[in-house]
Amino acid sequence: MESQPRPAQAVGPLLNHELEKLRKDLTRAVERVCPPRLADRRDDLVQTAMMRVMELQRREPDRSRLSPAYLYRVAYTALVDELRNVERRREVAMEEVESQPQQPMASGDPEKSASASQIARAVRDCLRQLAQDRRLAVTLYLQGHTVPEAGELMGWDGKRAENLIYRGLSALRLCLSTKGFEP
Amino acid sequence: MSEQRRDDETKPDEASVERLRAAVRDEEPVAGGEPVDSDLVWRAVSGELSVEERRAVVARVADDAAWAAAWRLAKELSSAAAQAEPGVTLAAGGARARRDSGDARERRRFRFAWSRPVWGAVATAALVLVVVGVSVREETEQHQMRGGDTGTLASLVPEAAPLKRDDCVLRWSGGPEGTRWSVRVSTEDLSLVHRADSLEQREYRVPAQVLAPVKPGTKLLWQVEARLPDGQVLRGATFVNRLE
Repeated sequence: MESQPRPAQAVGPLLNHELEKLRKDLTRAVERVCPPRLADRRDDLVQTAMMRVMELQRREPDRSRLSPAYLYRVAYTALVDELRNVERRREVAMEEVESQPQQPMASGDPEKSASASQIARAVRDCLRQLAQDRRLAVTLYLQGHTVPEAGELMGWDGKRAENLIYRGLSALRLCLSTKGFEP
Repeated sequence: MSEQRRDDETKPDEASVERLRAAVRDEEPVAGGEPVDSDLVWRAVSGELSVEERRAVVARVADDAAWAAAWRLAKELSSAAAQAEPGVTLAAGGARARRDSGDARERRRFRFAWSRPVWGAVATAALVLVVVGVSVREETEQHQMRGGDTGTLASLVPEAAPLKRDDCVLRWSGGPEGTRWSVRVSTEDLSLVHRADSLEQREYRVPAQVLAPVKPGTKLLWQVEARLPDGQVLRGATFVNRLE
C-alpha cells in the first residue's frame, strides 16, 4: 500500500454538517441584521458568502489550514462586500427609476418605510449631538450590545457604562422629541 | 437622591429601545461614505484591537450606517464562529502547533472579551505582560504590542525613537526566507489608514505623502502580516511609534 488517506484533523475543512451550520448562522445573521428593504436579497447574500467559502476550500491545497473561525471570517467579509454591492446596485436602480415617469411599486409599506428612514436619520443626527463617550455607549447599545458588553468594549466599568448609556438614551429621546419623534 | 435612584429614572423601557434599534437597523447607508474596512470591524468586535482603536471604529459606526451594519454582522458571526470551533489539542512544535496555539489564543481572547469586563481585561493584560516580559529579555528591541501572533514577529523600531516623516522606515524580524509581508499603518482615530502588500523585505518605507496630513506627535499604529512560504498566515502584534 503506497499511501493512506490522512486522518481527519481537529482543525480542517468544514464538513457537510459544519457547512450547513455555517449556512444557518449566516442566514440568521442576515435576517437579524439586514433591513427590511433588502429582505428579497437575503438568500442571495447568504449564497454569495457560501460560494466564497466553498471556493476557498476548493483552492486551498492544504485544507487543514482552513479553520472554522477563519472561514466564518471569510464569509463575513464576503457578506459585507456583497451588501455594499447590493446597496450600490439599488442606488443605481433608484436613479434610473426616478428618471422614469411612473413611480415604482415599493415592497412593503411605503409610508412605514419613509417613517423608519426619517427616524433613522433623526437618531443619527441626535447621536452626533451627544458627548463623545455617551455617543459611543449609546451607539453600541443600539447595535444590540448589553450594558456590560458595551462597557467591556470601551474599557469602562459597569457603573460608568450604565450611566453613559441610560443618560445618553435619555438625551437622545429628548433630542428626538424636539424633532417630533416619540420613540 | 442616590446615584442608583437617578439611574432607575433614566433607564429606558425595552419597547422604546427596540424601536430605536429597529430604526437604526433600517437606515440606508449614505452614498459615497467611507468604504467599510471589514477586517478592522471584525477585529474590533472580536476584541483583537486595543480600546483606543476600538473607540475609533465605534465612532465610525456611530456616523455611518454601512459601518453599523458591518458591526452588527460581525457581532452575530464572531459569536457563531466561536461556537463553531472544535476543541483543539495543542501539539508541541511545527506549523500546525503554532497555528492551533494562535487559534486557541484567539478563542481565549474572545471569551475574555465577552465574559468579565474588568477581570477579563486585567487577566488579558497580565498575560500580555508576561509574554512581553519574556520576549523583551531575549530581544531588547521589541516593544509595545497589541494582540496578534506576537511570538514570532517583532518590531525592530525602537519605541523611544520618533519616526521621521520623510524617512519613515518600519522594520521587523521573524518569519523564514521567502515570506511575503503586508503592513498596515493607521492612526488611533483612523484618519490615516495605509496598507502595503506583497513586500519581500522585512522593512517598509511609508511614503512621505501618506504621512503629510498626520500631525506631529501622533501615534502611528502599525501591524505586520506574514504569508509564509507554506501558505500559513501570521499576524503580528500592533506596534506603536510616534511620528516626529
